[in-house]
Amino acid sequence: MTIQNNYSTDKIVEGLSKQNPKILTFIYKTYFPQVRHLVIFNNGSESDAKDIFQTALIAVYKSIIKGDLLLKVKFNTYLLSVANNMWLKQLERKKIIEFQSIDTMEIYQLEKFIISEEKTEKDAEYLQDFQLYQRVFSTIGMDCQILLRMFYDKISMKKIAEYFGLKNMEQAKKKKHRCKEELFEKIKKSPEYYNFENE
Amino acid sequence: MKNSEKIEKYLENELNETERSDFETEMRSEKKLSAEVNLHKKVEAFLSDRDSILLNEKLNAIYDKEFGNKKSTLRIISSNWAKIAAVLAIGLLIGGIIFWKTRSLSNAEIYSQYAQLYDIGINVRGDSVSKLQTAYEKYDQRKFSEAIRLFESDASGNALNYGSRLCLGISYTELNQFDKAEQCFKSIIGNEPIYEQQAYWYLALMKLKAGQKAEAKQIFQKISKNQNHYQHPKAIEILKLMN
Repeated sequence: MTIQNNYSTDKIVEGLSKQNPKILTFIYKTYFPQVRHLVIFNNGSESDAKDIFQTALIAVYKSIIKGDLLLKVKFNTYLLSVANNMWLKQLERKKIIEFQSIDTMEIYQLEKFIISEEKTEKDAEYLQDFQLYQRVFSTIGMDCQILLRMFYDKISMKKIAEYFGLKNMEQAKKKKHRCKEELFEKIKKSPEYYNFENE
Repeated sequence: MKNSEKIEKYLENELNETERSDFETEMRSEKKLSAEVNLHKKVEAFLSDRDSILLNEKLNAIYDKEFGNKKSTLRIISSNWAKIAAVLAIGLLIGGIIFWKTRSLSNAEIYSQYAQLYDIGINVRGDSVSKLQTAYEKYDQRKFSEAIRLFESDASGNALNYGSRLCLGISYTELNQFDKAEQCFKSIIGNEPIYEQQAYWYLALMKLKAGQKAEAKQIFQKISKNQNHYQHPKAIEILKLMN
């Protein structure tokens, strides 16, 4: 796919809000290398970089959808600031204090004027939750994944019962409950959850 | 009743007033229970946030394509969404018994034989109950003009959900508003795996009804080659009828 490198901030914001594949690819190809550099240079891995980049982008996406994103800087500056902050918070939580790339510090200094401390905290918390839930969800049984997707896609319990060949809605509800229990048990047993709870 | 059950009922408003009040008192005094309820709330918010989950899956695919291992893209997409989409479709669609016709059928005849309304099976919950629920009812009753009006007015403030877009596209097709129907189906393709197979199927039917035989044939051929497509056998039948 040919990637244009001249999208305006407005075009990027609009494309991101619509999850336009071309814009998403453009954002990823253009800005991920900077985030990867930032994370790997500061005690992180490729996988950390990917998680940080994607969750930062989702956090920006959610702000656009909610209508509370007022960009006073270029899109990439904002996105990198969010990613930078998220990673900084991760490092703080992991008790890793070194964070001294000159480039990074420049981004961080700039960020102070763009994003509030409160927003940074929220983004960092969201990052932890999202990564954890996403990972654990993919480990529960496929039946349960389907059932919970159906339920949260607002498909009626009657249809869910029909699909799973259950006698009635009560049985479907019980199955949903068991699926949720499996999900919560796995979340609670995960080391990340234990760490958050004991901070 | 187990704690997890009680929490679920509490969050889904299924406790009566006394049970609810007792539960809230218990929560205030038991830190562990209160933390458990918070966890449930967060996970529920995550599971309800389908747009973000979908965005994340699209980003995973881009990462795998541009920076990583291509195999894992296929794994993510096919192991989760595609499987879910396929089984949802099979489970929710009303299957029809197809009789083979020996005589040649017109496009319109093939369309009317195969174009069953998609049963979305949605039970609308929450604040938007009235308008969307009524839109689905009108759609079920084949009152397509009214359904379109209601779907469109529901979409005036927010993007219409993909299930509704599918029904809207089918409604437009029924009223021969083909350009609008095509827009609806194409807005689903590539954006919502759960309804993507259905969008392809109804797009092909729409093309058939609109007399765009070559384009319709092309889409049916694609479906017929995809054994995982829920309408795979029907696409083969239609191609035979079209020839």
